[in-house]
Amino acid sequence: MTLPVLLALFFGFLGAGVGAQGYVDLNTAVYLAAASNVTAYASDPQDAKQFASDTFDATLRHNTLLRSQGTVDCTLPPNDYTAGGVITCQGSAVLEFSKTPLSVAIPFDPVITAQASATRSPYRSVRP
Amino acid sequence: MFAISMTFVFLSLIALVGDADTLMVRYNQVSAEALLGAQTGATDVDVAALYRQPAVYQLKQDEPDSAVDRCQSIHLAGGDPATHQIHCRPSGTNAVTAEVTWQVTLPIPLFMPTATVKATRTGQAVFGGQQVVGP
Repeated sequence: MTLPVLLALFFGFLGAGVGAQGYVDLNTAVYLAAASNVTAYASDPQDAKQFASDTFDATLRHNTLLRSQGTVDCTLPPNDYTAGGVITCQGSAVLEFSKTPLSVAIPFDPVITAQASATRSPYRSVRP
Repeated sequence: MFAISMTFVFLSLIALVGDADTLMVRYNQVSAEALLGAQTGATDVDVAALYRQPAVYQLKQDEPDSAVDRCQSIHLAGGDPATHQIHCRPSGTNAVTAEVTWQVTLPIPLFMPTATVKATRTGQAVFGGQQVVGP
């Protein structure tokens, strides 16, 4: 009786730690993507989204247990790409417990989501 | 007696791990928000002062569109305005400091129901070169 309880606690604690770290990494990737989005020219959503998705994908690659679901979505309201406007980005990823021995105790791969908003400089020029 | 003691020990461990993980995630979030707030405030360059003779390199100080207002205008995800707040203050004339606090509700309130996480970040405006170039 005692041993299974101890094992369950051990795996549970490890799982909670891995989950928290995965969420932190996803959160960082989404905030960096939002910050990167607003460095693009004003009124240039195509480049801005490209900057955001490049940053998101490259940041997420550092955590091998996170599998991106598509890429970061920066079309959520408010999505004002003019100078001084506010954009909102949202990113999702699958936390792959199945890649680790923790799959014994956590037999599913949860999807986690994070969201961030950033403001473009009021003096950002449009593409020349 | 041993079983009861161990039950309390395990319950405390579960609370400790759950609460610590929650605080770690929330701290990461307020840290990122403080960075974004400072960055947003630091974009509010005082252009009129920049083109004055002699040029003054500073952020906008005037209400209601000062760098501090701009810094405090960022969207904070999660919580409510009473528990999740951002306060900005000028740091000299060309930098702004953002402080984000969040009174986090702990998932397993064994020791205390809430805990406060706080992060402070400073952003300095970028003026390009040190010489004013005509528009």
